[in-house]
Amino acid sequence: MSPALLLVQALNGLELGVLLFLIAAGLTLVFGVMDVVNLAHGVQYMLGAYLAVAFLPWCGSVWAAIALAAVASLVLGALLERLVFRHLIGADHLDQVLATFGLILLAEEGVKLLFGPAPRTLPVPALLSGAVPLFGGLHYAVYRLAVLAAGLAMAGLLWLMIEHTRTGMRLRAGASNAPVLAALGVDVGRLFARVLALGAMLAGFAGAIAAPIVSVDPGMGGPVLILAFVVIVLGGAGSVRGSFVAALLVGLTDTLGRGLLDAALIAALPPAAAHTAGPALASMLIYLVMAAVLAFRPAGLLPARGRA
Amino acid sequence: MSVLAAEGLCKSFGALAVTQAVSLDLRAGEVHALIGPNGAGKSSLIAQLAGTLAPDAGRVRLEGADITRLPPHLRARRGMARTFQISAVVGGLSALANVALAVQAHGPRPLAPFRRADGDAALEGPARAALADVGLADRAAVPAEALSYGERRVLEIACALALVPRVLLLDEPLAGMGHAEGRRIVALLAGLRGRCAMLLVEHDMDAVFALADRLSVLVEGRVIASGPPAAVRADPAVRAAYLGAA
Amino acid sequence: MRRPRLRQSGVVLAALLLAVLALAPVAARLLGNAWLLALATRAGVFAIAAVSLQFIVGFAGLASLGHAAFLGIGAYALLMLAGAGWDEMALSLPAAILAAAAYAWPTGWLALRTRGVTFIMITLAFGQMAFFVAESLAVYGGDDGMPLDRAPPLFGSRLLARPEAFHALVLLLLLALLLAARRLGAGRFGRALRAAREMPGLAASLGFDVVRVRLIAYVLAGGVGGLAGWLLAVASGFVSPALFDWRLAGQLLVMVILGGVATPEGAASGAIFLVLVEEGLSAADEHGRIVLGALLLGAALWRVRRGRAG
Repeated sequence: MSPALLLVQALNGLELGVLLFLIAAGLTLVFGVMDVVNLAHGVQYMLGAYLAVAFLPWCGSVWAAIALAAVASLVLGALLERLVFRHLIGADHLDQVLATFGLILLAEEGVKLLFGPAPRTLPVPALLSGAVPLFGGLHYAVYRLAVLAAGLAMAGLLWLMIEHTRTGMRLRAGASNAPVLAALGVDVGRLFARVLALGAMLAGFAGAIAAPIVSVDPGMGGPVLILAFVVIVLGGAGSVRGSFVAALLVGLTDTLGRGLLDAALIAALPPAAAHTAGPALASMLIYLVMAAVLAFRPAGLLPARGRA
Repeated sequence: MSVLAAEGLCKSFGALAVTQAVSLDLRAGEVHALIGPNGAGKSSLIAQLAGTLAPDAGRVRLEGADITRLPPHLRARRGMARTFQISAVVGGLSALANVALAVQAHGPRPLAPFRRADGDAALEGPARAALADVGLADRAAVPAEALSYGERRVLEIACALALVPRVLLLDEPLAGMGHAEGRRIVALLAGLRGRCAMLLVEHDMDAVFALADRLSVLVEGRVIASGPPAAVRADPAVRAAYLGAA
Repeated sequence: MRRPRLRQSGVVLAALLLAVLALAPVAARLLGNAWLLALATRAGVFAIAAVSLQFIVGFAGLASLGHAAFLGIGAYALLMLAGAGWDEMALSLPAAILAAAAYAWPTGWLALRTRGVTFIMITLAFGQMAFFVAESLAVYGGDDGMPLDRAPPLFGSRLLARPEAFHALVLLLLLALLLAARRLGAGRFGRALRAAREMPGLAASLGFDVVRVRLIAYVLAGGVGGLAGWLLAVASGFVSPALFDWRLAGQLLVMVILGGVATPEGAASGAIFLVLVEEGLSAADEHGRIVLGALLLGAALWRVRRGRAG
C-alpha cells in the first residue's frame, strides 16, 4: 500500500473512531454508572440522522439541520428517560433487554412508516464540499476532515465536562464505585437523567454529521451499536477515557487493518485464496482484537479506576 | 505439623496495605482463632487463604503443598472447606439438597447430566448424616430460604462438613445471631473439635475463648500476637490495641 | 404454595400450544392453506432455538445476545455440506450441531471471563463476527445467501421433502428436547448449574469449577442452537447471513423472557406465542412490528413494576 493510501485509510479510521466514541461515550456511562443495558442507543444515532434529513427542507441549511438534530436528540433522550429508562434503573437485565428491544422495533418501524424503507441522504454543506489534495495524487474529502474535527471537538468538550464539573466528578466517582454516590447523598436519578440525555445528544449528533457520508436507513443503528459495544468492552465499562482510546483503536483496526491485511494476503497467498480469506479475516479483525484483550485483560484496557 | 500455613502474605489495594507480611499456621485438629478490630484485614486474609483473592507476595501451603495460585474449587478438592460471613445457601433447594450438593461436588461424577439428583441415595445418604451431625435432621425437607437465620448458618456448616475437610475456615459464624443461637453454634463447633483443623474468625470473645486452642491477633494488616489464649490475653500490646478497647 | 401450581400451569400451556402445532397439518389440509403448516413448523423450530437459549439464560443465569450465530452456523453447515452432496440428515445434522458447539467453545470461554452487561455485549459482538464472516463467503452467496436445492434426504429417502413429515420431525425433536432439558435441570449437572447461578462463591467453595460448568452449558446450548439452525434452513429452504442477525438473537432472547426464563417449557411457549403473534401482525399490516415493539416495551415496564411491588 502506498503511503498516501495509508494516510487516507488512517484518516478514515480516525473518522470512524470519533463517530464510535460519540456513540459509546454516553452508553459506557449508562452501563458503568447505572448498570443499565441500553440496546436502543443505536436508535438514537439513526434518529439523529433522520432528524437532520427531516429538518433540512424546513430550515434550508445543512448546518442548521445538524444543530437542530442534536438539540432534538437531547430532548428525545430526556423524554425517553422519563417514559422508559427511569423505570429500568435497578431492574433485571432481562427486562432492560426486553424494553429496549421493544424500543428498537418501535423506532425502526416508526421511521419506516414516516420516511419509507428506502435509504435517504443528506447533502454535504456547500462550504465543506470538495477535497483537499494529499501527496501522491490522492485527495481527501473536506467534509470527512470536518467530521473528524467536530468529533474531536466534542470529545474535548466532554473531557472538560468530566474533569471540571460537579456532574463530571460524580460520574467518575460513580463509574468506579456506584454505591458511593448514593452514600454521598447524590441524587442518582437526576444524574442518570442527565447522562442519558447527554448520551442521546452525542449519538444523535454523530448520526447527523455522519448522514452526508453514509446511507441513512432505519437499520443503520444496529451495526454501529455493536461496534460501540466492542468499544466499551475494550475500553472498560464506565471509562470514558477508555472508550476514547478503544474507539480510535477499533476505527483504525477496521480500516487500516483491512487494507494492510489485504495487501499481506495478496503477497502471501495465491490470488484465489487471498480473495476468499481476505474479506472474511478483515471483517473478523476487530473482534479478534476484542478476544485478545478479553483473554488478557477481562476488565478492558483502561477500566474506570477502582474496578478490579 | 501444620495443615494450613500462610507465609509472609502481603496484599495492597493501591496505597492501602490490608495484609502485611502475615504468617500464620493451623495445626492438625486445633481451633485457631483469628481476632482483630473491624478493618484489621481479617476478611482479606481469609479470602487469600480460600483463594478468592490473590496475594501480592507470600505463600499459602496446604499440608505442605504450595496452593497460593490454586483456584477455590481446587482447594476444596484438596480438603479445604469454608463458610461465609454473609449467609450462603441455595435458597430454593431443601436443606438436604444443599448438603447433597456438597456431597456431589466432592464425590464421583459431580456433573452427571441425566441422573436425577433428588432421591439419589449416593448423595442423600452422606447428606443426611451431615445434617444429623449438626442437629438439623428434622429440617431436611425444608427449603433453605424457609429456615431461620440461625438454622441457615448451621446448614452452611453441615455443607462444609459434607466435604470431609481437613481444614475448615469459619468466617464469623456467629455474625448476626442472638445469644441463644450463638451458643448453639459454639456447642456445635466444640463437638466438632478434632474432626478437622478450624480457623475461626470471630468477634464474639466468649465464643473465641471457649473454643480456641490458639489465638492470633490481627491489627492493621499485621499479626501483633499469637499463642495460647491466656498468654495473648495478657499481652500488653494486644490489650492496648484491641482487648482494652473492646 | 403458589409455585407448584404455576409450574404445572406452565406445562399445561406448553402442552396446549404443542397440541395446536400438532393439529396444524389437519387444519392446513381442511382449509387448503399450506401457509398454516409452514407457520406451525416455523414456530416449532423457534421453540427449539428458544429452549436451547433458555438453558443459558434460565439455568445458567447468563443473558446471551449472540445465540443467532449458532443458528446461522447450523444452517451454513448444511448449506456447505449440501454443496458437496453430503446433505444426508444422518450426517449433516450432527455436523451442524458440532460446528455450532465448536464455535461456542472458544467464544464462550472468552465471554465467560465477564458477567452481566459485559457478557451480553460480548456475546453480541461474537455473533456479529460470525455474521460478517458469513457475509464475506462469496461462494455461498455472500450478502444474499443461497437457496438449498432440496430437502436433505433421511437415510436416502425423500421423506423430509414432504411438509407434513418435516413438521412431525420438528415436533418430535421439540418434545424430546423439552423432556431432556427438564431432566437435565433436575440432574446433578442442573443442580451444579443452579448453584453456580445463585451462589457462585459457594459453588466454588464446595469444589465446583463454576466457569467450566457454565461453559459446558454454553456449548450444549450452542450445539442445540446449531440443530435449530439446520431445521430453520430446511424449513425455509434458504440460507443467508440474516440468520446471524443480532435482531434474531434479540428475538430469541425476547421469546425466552416472555415465556418466563425459569423453565424450558416456558421458553417454548414464549417462542410459539411470539412467532404466531409476529406473523399474525405482519400478515395484518406491513407495519405490524410497531405493535409488537409497543407490546414488548409495555410487557417489560409491567414486569419491572410487578417486580418492584412484590
